[in-house]
Amino acid sequence: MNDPLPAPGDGPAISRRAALKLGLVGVLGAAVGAGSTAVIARLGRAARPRYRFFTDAEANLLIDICEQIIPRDDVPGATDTGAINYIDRQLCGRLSRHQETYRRGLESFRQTCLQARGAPFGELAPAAKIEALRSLELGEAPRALWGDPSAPEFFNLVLSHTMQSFYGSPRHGGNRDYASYRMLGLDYPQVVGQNRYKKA
Amino acid sequence: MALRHVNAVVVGAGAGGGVVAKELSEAGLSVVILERGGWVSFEEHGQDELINQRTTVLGDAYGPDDRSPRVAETGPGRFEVVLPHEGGYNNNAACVGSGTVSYGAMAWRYMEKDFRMRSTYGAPEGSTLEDWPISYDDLEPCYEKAEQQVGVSGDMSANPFAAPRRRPYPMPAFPYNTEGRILEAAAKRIGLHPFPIPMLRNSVPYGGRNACVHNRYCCGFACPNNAKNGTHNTMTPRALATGNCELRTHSIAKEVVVDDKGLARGVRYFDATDAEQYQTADLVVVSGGAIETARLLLNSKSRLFPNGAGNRYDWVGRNLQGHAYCGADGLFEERTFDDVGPGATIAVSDFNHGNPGLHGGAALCNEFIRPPYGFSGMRPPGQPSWGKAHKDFQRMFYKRSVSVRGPVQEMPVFDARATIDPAVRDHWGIPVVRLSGSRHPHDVEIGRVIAAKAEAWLKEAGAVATWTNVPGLGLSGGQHQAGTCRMGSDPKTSVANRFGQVHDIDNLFLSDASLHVTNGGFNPVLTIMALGFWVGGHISSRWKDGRLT
Amino acid sequence: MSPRSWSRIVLGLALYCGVFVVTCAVGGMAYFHFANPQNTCASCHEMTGVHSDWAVSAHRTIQCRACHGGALTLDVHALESHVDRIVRHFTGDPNKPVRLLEKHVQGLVDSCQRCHPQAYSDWQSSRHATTYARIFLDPEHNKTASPTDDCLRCHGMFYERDITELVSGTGTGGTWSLRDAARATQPAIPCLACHQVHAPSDATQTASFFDHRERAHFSASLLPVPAVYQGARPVKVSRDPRQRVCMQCHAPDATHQLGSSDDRTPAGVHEGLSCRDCHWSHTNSAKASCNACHPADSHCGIEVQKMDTTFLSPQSRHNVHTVACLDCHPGGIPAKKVASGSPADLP
Repeated sequence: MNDPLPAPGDGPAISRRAALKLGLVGVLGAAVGAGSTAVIARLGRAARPRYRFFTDAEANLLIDICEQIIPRDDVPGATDTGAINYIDRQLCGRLSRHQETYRRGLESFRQTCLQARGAPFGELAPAAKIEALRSLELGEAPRALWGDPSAPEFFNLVLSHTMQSFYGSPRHGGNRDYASYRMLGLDYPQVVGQNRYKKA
Repeated sequence: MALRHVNAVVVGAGAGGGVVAKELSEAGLSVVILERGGWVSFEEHGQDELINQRTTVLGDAYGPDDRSPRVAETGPGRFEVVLPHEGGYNNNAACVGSGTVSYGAMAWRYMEKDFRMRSTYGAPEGSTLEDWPISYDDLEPCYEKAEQQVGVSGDMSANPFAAPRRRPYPMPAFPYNTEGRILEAAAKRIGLHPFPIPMLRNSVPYGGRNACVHNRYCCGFACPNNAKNGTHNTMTPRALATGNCELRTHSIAKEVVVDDKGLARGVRYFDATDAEQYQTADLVVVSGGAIETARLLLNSKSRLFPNGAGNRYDWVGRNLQGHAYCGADGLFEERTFDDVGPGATIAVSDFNHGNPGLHGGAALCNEFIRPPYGFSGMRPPGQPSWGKAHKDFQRMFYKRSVSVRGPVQEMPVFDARATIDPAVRDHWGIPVVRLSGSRHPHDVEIGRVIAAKAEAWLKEAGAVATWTNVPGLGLSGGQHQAGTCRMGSDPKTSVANRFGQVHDIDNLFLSDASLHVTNGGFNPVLTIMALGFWVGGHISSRWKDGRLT
Repeated sequence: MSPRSWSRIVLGLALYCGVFVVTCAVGGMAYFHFANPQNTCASCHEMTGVHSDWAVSAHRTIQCRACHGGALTLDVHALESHVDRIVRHFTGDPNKPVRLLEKHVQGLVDSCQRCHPQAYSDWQSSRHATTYARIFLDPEHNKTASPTDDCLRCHGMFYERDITELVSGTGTGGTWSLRDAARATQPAIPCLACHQVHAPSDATQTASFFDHRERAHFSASLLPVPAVYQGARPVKVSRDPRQRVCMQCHAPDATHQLGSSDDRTPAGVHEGLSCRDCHWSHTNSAKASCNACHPADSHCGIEVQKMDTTFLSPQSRHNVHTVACLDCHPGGIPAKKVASGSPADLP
């Protein structure tokens, strides 16, 4: 910027130059602005994590565990009713203190299955899956793989959270379509008249 | 700016504080109530099974929040910080009305012997069991006031063990639900004396409030119909209506200031903006619930009471007790569920006293409706708690089960106690309470016997499978917390005198279950309210010419 | 450099920044306004459920912004709630449920009317088109009851706070008043009380009940069929899902006895019928409904619409919901006198 000071009365030339500059700045700004829009759009299309807390692999393992706890039969089970959604949501909310327990517990369980059963949990036969969880519940899992949490601690945590998801209100992320209340034949919402008026 | 001096400051707007504040305001004293919570209603959490006073897995619907931690003994010599929704915390609701907003609302009078436990039974080894310095007869007019003014539905005519009363209940008893009818017939067959549970709930419109419509979700929840009577919708509004009372919500008491003459001068507290305030008063009433009352006294150090107000002989915070709940569950072939809430309708008082070899006992009642998540944990021993078997059990028995429960009267233990943690402080920088100790082994023994009685009752009622629930030795407290500042005539073995006045501090009073010497074999709330009338009446009678005489 | 040229540099930079920010903002907002919501709002967890319900709903051809407003919509409420949601997404509690505020629900009544003018005018003629004033300032009712949160289960169900903030006055003195007088003329049972926009086109899905306690819509097919008893006898209750919506408020008391409290479940000659068999949707009128099933004359030869029931006159002792032949013929049902039609036509 070494422009000489504009002389008084030299108005038109200066304003033309200024207008040119102004236009340039405007075009530059607009170009960057438009570019940024494209960046926003790209961000919009970028693959997003499916869960708030879990990785996809953790979530798939946990979904499988929950489904053993409340399996689907003629009525929906843990997977259908969104147990993973409840746990994932609450781990980023009210139950956030259990995040590490899940992270470590799921990893310990993954290794336990490989070590004790020679295959990932997802590839086990249905009966073997139940057996694998039962040994967690009873604390029969390899000790070297479990410390904090212990195997029963981890199992009982998942158990209670799965029950909460299935029987709690859908507002917390599970019990999709109030499936458990319909399973129990429990009127929900409860219908109670107020007995206020004489009826017509 | 200094706050305007008042006649009385009441700490806590629960069952005890609500009544005392109303009594004092009506007697013409200027009163300020400091309540650590706010007004709550049904609206925020509705009928949410995961956030209410009974099930707190996703939080405490009625407070306090995580700004108020405690420290609990989780093993011998092992202490951990616990939050309000965790079991070891022993929470009482923090809101206007406290537990009376969301309680099941059973309205028991204690029995005559409940005030004379030591002279009736003698203290078992390791227990500080003692008689109350007042008798049932002393308290009877106050029970009556609580029943009439707060509102109770009941009928004791079928209960031969009930202590005498001068006036009937102001509202008729609730009818039995299906469980009640099944249990009534069975009880009569085995020689028990069943009767409807008295309830602080309107069976007919009363006091300008509606009659109960029998919602399923009641115990643990605020009432959407204003048919459940707590101090928040009876006593506190009456206190405020006098024009003599000011309620300051979200006000956290820090200490009672005691001067060098041994008189209480007022209360330091943090207001809703966390600013420290000092409210001076002619007299102070502490009604924080057994645990918080003890904490406040212990935190109130002065020259004359360096270990806390009223703690000259190290009795503040001692003898923490609640109820050792025991009982039995039964499964039925017939349908027992009728969805007529809240579900607890029938009781027997046959086992409160007179159990051979036992020091006391418990009333037995059928349980409130078990919501679905709660029921998922109700299983006979050995029954799988998950998998297809879990689902089948839920479907088969959710509507075919009955539970009978009894609050076992506990033997006070000197080392079951609330002290001040040396390190942990709450959001406001106030040292928090540390809970330690355990129940007396005799509680478990009583629990085992009473649970067997409950099981026999269920079997007679036709249960195809039954199992018992016996309490363990873990420290007791919870919503029925009591005993930490017991009343007594000897200042060396008690904290307050028979009128709830702290020994040696002439103008400092207590009015909550901390005064209970023993806690009866019943839910304690009506007794706490009656004590509120007792203490409030005493203060009013001493209040002459604008001062305490 | 001279102060003049400094000031020109600053001016130029400011200009550049200004243009940049404005272009970015306009570009970004335009993108958010027009792009597929799956790439914008609905890509966040809290929105995916709402969006996927909408994507299979009867209203899927209507863009989000038509009802909710977009980034370029000049509506203070819409902008405020969008910004609030974004802020909460990054800072606050992301689990806070996404739902319309009452002012939005009230505003939607006009949007519904644009495409459904007939339904709107029918509803306007019905008693369901009631207002806050008519419900909460009824002196006759208020003499016997005190305001409670449970009132909001069936009226003012979108009200967001405690009843004590809506109505002042306690007890049974009949002295309730609305704290906000402007609310008096607002609908107390707006369209969304019984309908949800984000529901499949099936009538049993769009017909739904907004449960105030859950703050959620229950589509009719998910609502329970409450048991109703006449004494110990279970009454046959229609399986029509739409009736379940009615029963949420026209409900028996906790004993579930027929005709208790606000229950209108049909029994007697009409047992098993759905509310919707006789009452027109939106007007709720039962006018001329008899003809749908009945021949002009009844089994005993009397014109059905002229029989002594509450259909003819509200003062009748015989409630048309529960009337049985024996109510008028205690001595026994007379022989068939009817000329046209046959008993087989009767329900």
